[in-house]
Amino acid sequence: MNIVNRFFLAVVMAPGPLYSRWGIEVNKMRSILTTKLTMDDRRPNTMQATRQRRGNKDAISNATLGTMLVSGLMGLAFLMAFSLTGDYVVQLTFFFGMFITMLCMSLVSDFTSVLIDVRDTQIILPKPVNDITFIAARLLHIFVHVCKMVIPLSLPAFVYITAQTGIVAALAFGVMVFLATLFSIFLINAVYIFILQITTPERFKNVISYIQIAFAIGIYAAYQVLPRMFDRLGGTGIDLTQYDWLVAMPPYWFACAFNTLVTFKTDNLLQLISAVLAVLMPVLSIYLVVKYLAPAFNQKLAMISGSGSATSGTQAAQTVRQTGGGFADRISQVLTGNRMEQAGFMMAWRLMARSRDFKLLVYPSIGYFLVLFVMMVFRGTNSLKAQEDGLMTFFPVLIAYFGGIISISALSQVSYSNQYNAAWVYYVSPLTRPGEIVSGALKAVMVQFYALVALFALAVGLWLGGTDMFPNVLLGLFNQLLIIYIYAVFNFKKLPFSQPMNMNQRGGQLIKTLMMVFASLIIGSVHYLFIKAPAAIGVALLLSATATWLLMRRIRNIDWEEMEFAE
Amino acid sequence: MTEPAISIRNLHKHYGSKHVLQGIDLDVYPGQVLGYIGPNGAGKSTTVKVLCGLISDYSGDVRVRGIDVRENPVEAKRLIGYVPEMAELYDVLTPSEFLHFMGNLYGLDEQLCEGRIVRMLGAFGLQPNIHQRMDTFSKGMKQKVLLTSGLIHNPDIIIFDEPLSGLDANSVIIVKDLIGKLAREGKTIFYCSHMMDIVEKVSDRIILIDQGRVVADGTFEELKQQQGNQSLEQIFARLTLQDGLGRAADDLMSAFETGKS
Repeated sequence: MNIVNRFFLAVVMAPGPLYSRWGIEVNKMRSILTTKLTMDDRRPNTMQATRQRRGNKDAISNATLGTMLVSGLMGLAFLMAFSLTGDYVVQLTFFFGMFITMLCMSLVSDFTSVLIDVRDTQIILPKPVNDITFIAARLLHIFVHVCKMVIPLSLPAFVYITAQTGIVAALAFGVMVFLATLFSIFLINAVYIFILQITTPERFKNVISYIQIAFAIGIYAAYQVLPRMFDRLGGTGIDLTQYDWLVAMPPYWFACAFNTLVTFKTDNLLQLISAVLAVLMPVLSIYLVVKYLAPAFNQKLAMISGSGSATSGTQAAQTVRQTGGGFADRISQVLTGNRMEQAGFMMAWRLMARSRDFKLLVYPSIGYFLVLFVMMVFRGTNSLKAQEDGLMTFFPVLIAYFGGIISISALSQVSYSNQYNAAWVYYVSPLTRPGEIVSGALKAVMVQFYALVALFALAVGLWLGGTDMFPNVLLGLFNQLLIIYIYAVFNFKKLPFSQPMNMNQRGGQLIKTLMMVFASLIIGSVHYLFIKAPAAIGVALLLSATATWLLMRRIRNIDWEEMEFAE
Repeated sequence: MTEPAISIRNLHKHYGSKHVLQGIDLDVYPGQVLGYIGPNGAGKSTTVKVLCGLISDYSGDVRVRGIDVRENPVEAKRLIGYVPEMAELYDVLTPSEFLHFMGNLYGLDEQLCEGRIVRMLGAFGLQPNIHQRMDTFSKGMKQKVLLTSGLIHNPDIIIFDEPLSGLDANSVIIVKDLIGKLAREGKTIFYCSHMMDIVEKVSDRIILIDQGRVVADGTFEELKQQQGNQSLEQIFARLTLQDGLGRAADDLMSAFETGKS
């Protein structure tokens, strides 16, 4: 255990005699907490979860410090709220907005993976530990975990307020942070209850991982957007009193309450109401959690542990829709040449759609790309007020060129899986040309990740320039397809979901992806030079399509000697 | 006879509308090795969960050495060592850390605990792995840690749920031997398994349950006398299957036919 965990353990164990009086077995509780905190240290945290899934688990031994460091940096970033002109109400509304969002987003996934571990029922409950000890240990663990987030997040602002206004104001701020934290915990509970209401416990983990993905993308978007927004807002000053609806926004409550506490006056009635809500709502919501939500919550959570749960005997397992005449089946028949290729297609198709690890790795990068793309367009249209005609018409073609990057990022993950051992099926079956499986998998990736981009590019092209745009957009699409297939010929000689995930190839992967972007850039620039020459475009289109077709055949003919295996 | 170590009277348990245990009556005495068998879904693990104090909403009377499991679960748990079926453990910990944690939950003295951990893991041949994280362990290695965790506090009653899964032949011999020695010391062994040949050999009393009821109870010899001189496998099949097993195999074989015609 590191010093931080030892410190927190000492703090929460300090009222030992009091605990004993309540009937808690202090030694056992200490032991449970020690174990839980040790495990926290060895688990990747939320912010690393999307990245470190594939990493070697042994490498993680001080995750707590990492989390706190990242939170501390976030806390520093939150200081930008104080760069806004205006009073504390304005600044703290922004601060608490960011604070509550951040806290909720990271706690939402921690709750299942870290704080409420379903293995506890198998491991701790059969042991002679009384209920109150177990529950108290769990609550204190949650408390410590939340502290590890909240303290680094709010410390920079605390110091700032102390320096700016004084220690009394800073303490008032501390109280507001505490109330906001309580409120966040209530929000998370509500989200959990809501998710459990609309979905089955079996699917719960999937929904949580979607939230994790949204979290990763959200942070990235905020990182891109917020500094610019503050730049723009910073000089003008904002008057919040004119927005009545703010009274419905929790961050505003805490800002108003702080203001009232420090200045002993309020600007208007709404601010007073807000300040009262800041105190009332957290207390009320915690009461709700304890009284109504938590019991139902625990009951449902117990069901998430699939094996041996109360429902396992009676509830039917999640049955998968029969895909006999399904969309994937039909499309695979059209696109693939024989049974082997079709098998590869269907296998990759289904695993991509269902594997949580795959989604956690690929979807965020798609999100990053979209954010980056929107930012690019936004800035582009802003600076190019003149709307240069050539660039506008080239826009859908640009989509075609850049959209391919999504496919590359998916393609780079399709070969990897945590269950790579299941790939024995390929080796025991009489498979003579693994290239057919690879080709099928590649086509599945194209349909899932490129088809939409292609349709979007064509639609934008139609909207901006009518059918005249089609040759150019098509050439862009085929060129990108060609680039992807060139990439595949060199880097995709692996069976789908057959290789162990590991950290080592990440660096190489980035370089390869960058090379693909670079290739797209060069080909795209050449394309731009000939954009007004239909004959050249036509010839290029023919050449590009032929080359792609040849590469497809090449991939189908890959034999066992050419295949690559890890280690 | 002495006081029973485990006493179950008229145990019923419902999951929703499903009646999982329909009145189990059972006495197990110290020194007995009870083989508890039954088809999937018969209610084996539910019985185990009741015994371990994990389920309290049952009806009936369940006592462990005279202690009511529902009234005083903590005292009951102290007497029981439980080796769960699936290798559920905190695998980011090392065996040493995990077992010390287990020892603490039973209130064992640190020194005593350390000594037992080293000797027990040593006996299983895990000495070199004692400070490695378990996430890299094989199924058999994890199972050895689980076995150790169930025995570390020297319990009077030991509940094994499929304890041999993933173990190699040598370890299987060790565990079978161990079960015999524990019973001779007066411990009570409650052994759940699907492996009939092992149940047949290790247990001196066999209980067969089906659909929440006890359908056979006795030593293997007694069961053979009642059911005709058959293996435990065949007795099991006869008591729990409506159709003959031969039919199922025929059905399987006939699946090849459909393609041809």
